[in-house]
Formats: sequence, C-alpha cells, structure tokens
Amino acid sequence: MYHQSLPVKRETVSDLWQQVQDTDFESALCLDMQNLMHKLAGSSGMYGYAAIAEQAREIEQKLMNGIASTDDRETVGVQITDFIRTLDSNFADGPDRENR
Amino acid sequence: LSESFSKSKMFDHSTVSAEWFDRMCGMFSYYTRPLYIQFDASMRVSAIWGDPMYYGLGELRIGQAADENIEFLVGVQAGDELELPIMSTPSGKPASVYVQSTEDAVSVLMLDAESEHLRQQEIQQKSNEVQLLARRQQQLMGELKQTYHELELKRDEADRANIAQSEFMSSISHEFRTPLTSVLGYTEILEKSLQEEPAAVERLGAISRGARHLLSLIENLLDHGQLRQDEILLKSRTTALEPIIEDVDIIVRPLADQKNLKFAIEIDQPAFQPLFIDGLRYRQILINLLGNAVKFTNSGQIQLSISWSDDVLTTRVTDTGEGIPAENFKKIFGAFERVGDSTESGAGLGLSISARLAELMHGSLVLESSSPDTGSVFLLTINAPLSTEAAGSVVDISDSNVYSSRDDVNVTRPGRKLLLAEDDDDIAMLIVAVMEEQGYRVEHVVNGQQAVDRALSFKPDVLLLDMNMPVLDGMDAIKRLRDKGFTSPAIALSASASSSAQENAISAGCDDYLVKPIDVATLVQSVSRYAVGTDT
Repeated sequence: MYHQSLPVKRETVSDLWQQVQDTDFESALCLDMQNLMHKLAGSSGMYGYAAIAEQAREIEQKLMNGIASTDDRETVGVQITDFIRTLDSNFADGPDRENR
Repeated sequence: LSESFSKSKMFDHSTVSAEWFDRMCGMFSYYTRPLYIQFDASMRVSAIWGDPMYYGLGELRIGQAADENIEFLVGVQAGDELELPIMSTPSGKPASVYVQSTEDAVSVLMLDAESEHLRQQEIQQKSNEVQLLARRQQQLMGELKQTYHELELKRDEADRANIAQSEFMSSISHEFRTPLTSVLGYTEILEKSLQEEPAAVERLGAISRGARHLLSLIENLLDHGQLRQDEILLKSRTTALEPIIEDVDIIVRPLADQKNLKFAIEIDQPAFQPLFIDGLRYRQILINLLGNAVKFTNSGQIQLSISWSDDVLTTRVTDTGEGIPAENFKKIFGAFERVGDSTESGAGLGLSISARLAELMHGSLVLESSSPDTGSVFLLTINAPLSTEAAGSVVDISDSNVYSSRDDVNVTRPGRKLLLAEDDDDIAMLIVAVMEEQGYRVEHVVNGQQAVDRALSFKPDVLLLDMNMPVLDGMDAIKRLRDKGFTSPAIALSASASSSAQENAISAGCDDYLVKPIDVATLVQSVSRYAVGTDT
C-alpha cells in the first residue's frame, strides 16, 4: 500500500535532488522534481498524508516560481530536507502524525 | 460732468459762461459738491464757482495766488492735463480732481468723491471678503480632498483586510477539509470492518456525524469565502428536478422524523420539465432552507412547494416554527448572523450563501412572512429557462463540493463502466480499488492519448480524467473525445483549485471538476451521480 511505498518515494526524491544539485540545477531535472512534487502532493493527500501533501505542494510552487538565485536554491534545499524528514517520520508513525 | 470738462479744451475758457457752468454743476451739486476754480496765466484766481471751504481750500478770493492753498497745482505746466480720480483734500474729504492747463489759464474742477470712495472701499472690502472666502474654500477643498484620500486609504485597507480574511478562511477551511475527509474515510472503513460490533458502530457513527458536521461548516466557510471573492461559478445545464427533490427528501425526511415533524412536498407539474439551471446549487439552497426549517421548528410541519412559470422557478419553504421577529428579517441574511435560539448549531452562513447563490441565479431569496403563530415562509425565485436539449440528455448533477448532507446518496452502480485516465500509479490504484469495491468495472489508462483511444471503444458510463498527463493532457483529450462524439459524462481531476482552471475544464467538455487531493467519498458520490444520469 501507499505507506509501504514511502521509503521508495523518499529515495526517489533524495536521488533526484542530488542529481539536480550535481548538474548545477539543470532545468529539465528541476522540472522533473516539480512534476514529482505535483504527483506526491496529489497522491499523499488522497491517502490521508496531509503534511506530506502540504510540503510537496509548497516545494512544487517554489520550483514553479523558479529557483535561479542562490537564496532560492538554499531555501528549496531546506524544504526538501524537511520533506524527506517528513516522509521518514510518516513511514515510522503512519499518516497525519501531527493530526493525531 | 468730468468727461465734458475734460474735453473742455475744445472751447475757450474765457468764453465759458458762469451761469451755464453754475447751472450744469448745480444739477449735480447735491451729490458732487462741485468746485470750479480758474487761474490766469500768473496763477492767480480769476474765477470761482462752488465752495472752496468744503475742500479745505480756505476762502479763496479773486486775485489770490494759487500756491498759497492749493498744493496740487505746484509744478503744473502749460499744456498739462491731470486727472486724479481720488485724492485727499486739505479738509480730509476725498475728491476727484481734474486740471487743465493752457498758456492763458488753468482750470480746476473738484468733485466730492466721498460716495465713490465709499463705493470703492466697499468694493475693496467685498473683494477682500471674496478673496478670503476663496481662500477658505480652497482650504476646505484641500481638507475635503485629504479626508477623501484618507477614506479611500481606509476603504482600501478594509478591502485588503476583507480579502485577507476571506483568503485566510478559505485556506484554513481547506486545511481542515483534508484531514477531516481522512477521518471520514477511515471511519467508514472501520464501520464496515466492525459491522459485527454494534457498540463500536454506534460510536463510529458519532465520530462520523461530528466529522460531517464540521465538514459542512467548513464547506460553508469555503463557499462564503469564494462568494465574497466572486469565485463561485454557476454551472447551469439541462437539469431534471426530480432526482434533486428525491435527494432532498432522503436527507430532510429523517431529520424531520426525528423531531416528529410532518414533511410535505408539493410540486406543480410544469416544474418537472427539463430546466437550464445549476442543479447542485439549487439543491444546496433547498437543503439549507429545509435544514433551517427543521432546526427551528419543534412541532407541526415543514412544507416544500415548487412551481414554474415564465422561466421562473418559484420555491417556498414553509414551517410552523417559532418565527423570526420583523426587525431581524434582513439581518438573518447577513454572514455569521444568527438570531433566535443561540444554542442551535451552525456558523450563520447558510442563508447568506443561499441568498448570494440566488442572486447569481438572477433571482432572490427573501423571508416572505414570519410570525410566532404561523411560522416562517422563505421565498426563493430563480431564473430557470426551459432547456432546449432533448429530454434524454438530461443529466442529474450531484454536488462534488457540498459535502454537508451526502451520507445517504452514495448509491452503488453495479456493472457500470468507468474509465480512469491517471498517470500517477498511487492515485490510480486507490481509485480503481475504491470504485471496484462500489461495483464498477474500471479500466485504467495512463495518458490522454490512451484515454481517447480506449474511451471510444470501451464506451464508459463515466470518464475520470486527470488534467495533467503525459503525451496528451486531459484538456486536449476531452476536446478530442467531444469532437469525436463521445457523450458520456467526464469528471476532471486536477490539483489546481483555481476557478479559471475549473472553467477551462468545463468549457473543454468536462461535466465536473474535482480538486486533488480528492476525498474518496466525494469521488464515489460524484461518479455515482453521473453514472445514474446515464440511465435510460
């Protein structure tokens, strides 16, 4: 089920973000990241993972607005690190940890 | 007089007749106190008419030298001509003085200028007053502009605050909705798995009722926010009233039964014709009015009467409740206004939303009458032209956005075909599982092109179409399908909640629009509604 797929999703996000950084924010990879966040926002919300959905939506929005500056890149980096942490904690605790 | 005198060089002074001049001056003497003095070439007085004492010139005598008393003649040369409109004389009296000098003589005419002086003083005074008034006016205008500017700033500030408030309410409501739908979904699953344990089911029922109530409040807040920002779009289409009334009956009757109230429905036959209205919003108003009627009536009956005539659908909701005091007739339509028994639940938004929706439908919602003896009558009129479409194409619409009372409308449609176009495996897996559990035959494709190809051969009863897909997106897919004659209802699935995205999807050919994350119950209900709409 969705819960079981969270570690895989975590690795996908983590790997893609590493690639984005390694290629000095290549636009095609940034777009992939944006699409990945779009999908995660839609699916996690449906499975009751509100916190994941919200963070994914924020990151998607940030990427959509462009991350040309160093500041923007650092901000999105922090967001993604937080997001990965949220994926980990949701995997450990189940959906909507904050809402319990 | 002065003019004629100033032209007097035309005649010879020596020939001026004293009598003539005296007579002329006499005519004006009362007002002008004329004094005429003539000097000879050696500037000695040669003639006098009038009273030199009046001007303080002393007792002028013939032969007296001019410079003894008349200072203004000092330095006058032959050929000079002077005109002094107002000068102060030795007596202090203001005078107009005219002097004409020739080789042989100098003539002086003095006229009393007191009245002129007063007049000019008055003019000056008035002019000063006008200037003062103008300055004051300018000052007041400045103050007015400043006040106006400040008011504009305050209005802008209030507008911004209102918008911020609405946005805040919308966003917080949205945030509440997602976890609540989870609560409802999981409760439903638990209810099914715990069917053998009545106590648990009862408790879960309480959780479910509480969550639904919260959700209905949140939905109202969302609607209120959207209506304030003019973001609610009506989706008028060919609509049959019957399923709407059946729905309303299913929802309201149990509530009325709980309070031992009679619930009567009367519908005139013409109202059953296919009408071009936004059915789900009409249903929302009906549920709201009837819900209120039940809420505020403790005994007697609730009645729903509907009639149609000349493109107007008239709906009356009558109760035998406690009534509303006349002074609150208007107040009850205000947002967050609640009158009467404050122990009743609700945010006080229902009537405000309903009235605004009625306006959007080119109609109105009013409290027609109300009294403690007879109860209340709410009158709703909306524009409802007859549909030009064939009766067979009538589609019943369920409200995907109004969750408030939908517990009883999830009807399974065994054997109905559903085509799901969704590229996200997680979402697709959930939708397929849920819809198959509801008895649908579901096929899943992963892009718009596949959706077009498969829809034409599979002929689904309902098409679920993600808007954001590779190869061909949902928008283009539905356009192509409609061009190719695909008539089944299509429900758009999208992460974009903007009204423009919704409008675009509807105008491209979708029948409904669900915003991700989609709650399962809403999805089931929406699909179920469209699936029943295809019953023939």
